[in-house]
Amino acid sequence: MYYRVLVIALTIVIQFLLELTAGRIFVAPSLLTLVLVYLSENFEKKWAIDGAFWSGFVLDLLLHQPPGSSSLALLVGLFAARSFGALSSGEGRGYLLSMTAIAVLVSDTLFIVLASRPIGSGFNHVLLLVIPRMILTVVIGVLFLSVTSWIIEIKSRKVTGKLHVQG
Amino acid sequence: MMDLSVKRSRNPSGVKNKRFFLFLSVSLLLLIFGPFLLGGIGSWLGARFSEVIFRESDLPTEEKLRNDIIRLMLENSILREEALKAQRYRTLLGITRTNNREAIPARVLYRSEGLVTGIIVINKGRSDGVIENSICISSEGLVGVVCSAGEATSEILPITNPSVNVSCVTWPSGAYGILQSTSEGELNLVHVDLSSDVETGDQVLTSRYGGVFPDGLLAGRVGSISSGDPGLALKLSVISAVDFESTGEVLILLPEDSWETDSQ
Repeated sequence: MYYRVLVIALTIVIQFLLELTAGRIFVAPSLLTLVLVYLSENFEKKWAIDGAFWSGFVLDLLLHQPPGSSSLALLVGLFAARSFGALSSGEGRGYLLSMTAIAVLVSDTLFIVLASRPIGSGFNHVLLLVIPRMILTVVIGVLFLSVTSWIIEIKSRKVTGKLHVQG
Repeated sequence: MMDLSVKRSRNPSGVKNKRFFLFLSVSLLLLIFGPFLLGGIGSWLGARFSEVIFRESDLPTEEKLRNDIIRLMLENSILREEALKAQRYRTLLGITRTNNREAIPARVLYRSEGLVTGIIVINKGRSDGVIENSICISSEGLVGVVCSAGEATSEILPITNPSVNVSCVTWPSGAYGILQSTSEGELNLVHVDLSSDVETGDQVLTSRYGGVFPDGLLAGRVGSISSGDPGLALKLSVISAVDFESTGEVLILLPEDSWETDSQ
């Protein structure tokens, strides 16, 4: 549990740094959405709600964004992803990545609309930036899932090795 | 309560949905009221932080600030007065540069009762070189003539005194006349030629005639024009250039002959 909180905290810091660097140049991948989708699908569902709210709030404070805008966007984005997941009832790497893509698409679109002042004034060509951000997130998601699968595979090999000796 | 817990345990997705809407509402409230709330909390925290970091004794109190304001106001008034004084001195210095006579700066000590018959006492006397019939001027114009010179102080007879007659000329109209005061203290330029083309507002300057006063000193301005009693000359009412009540710094112009005698 604490380990996952630590992962979320670390992701927030990385996301913050990415927004300040890559985000200023073009777009930064939405690592936070990816991690939240991964945690909510593989562990407790609360990561899609509590995690989205608190991480969004902290990110808003760090990036001097309108407080509540990231929280709201992440909550709705993850809700949309979960709804898609319920409908598709799929599994595997593609399922998780498509959920992430939907979450990024919805949350970022909503964020741009909510965080712009006056609210809604960002509903223009700026929204197109959501697409490269989503693609970038999915690409990083592929890498992320490959690494996690590899780690899991190594772990399972070790376990099967032990069982084989015992047998 | 029991029913609710049962319901929760039976329907965990309902609980999740409730939680989702709760956080969604909080986010929405934050989005609407967040800037005000955080701004207020931020300034409150900032104030507490500054209280902790800076000791109370270092902070300027309201009373201290008020005292500072009063002190600065007093300083300002003194400086303003000094600036006016400097302006007057500059004007007087300009006069000394355009006049051949030797000049002695002096300050008015006091005035005796009455502007008409009263005299002005200055802080320079015979020891400073002041002699009788020296001319007293201020930055505004002609004040009077030295009627008595003591060792350290001198007495000035102002031009508002009826015993003082000054030969004057109007400018630019160029009409000559004698400036004298009535017993009520009104200045008039009398014996002005009827044919002269004097207008109200013309300057009244000392003329080169008379011998005592150097020419070109401003005595006042023409206030109104009327014909004299016999109807043979014009009588001009003159508004004095000098405010005798507020004159502080003056210049004593010594008679030309005394200066020449001294230089020889």
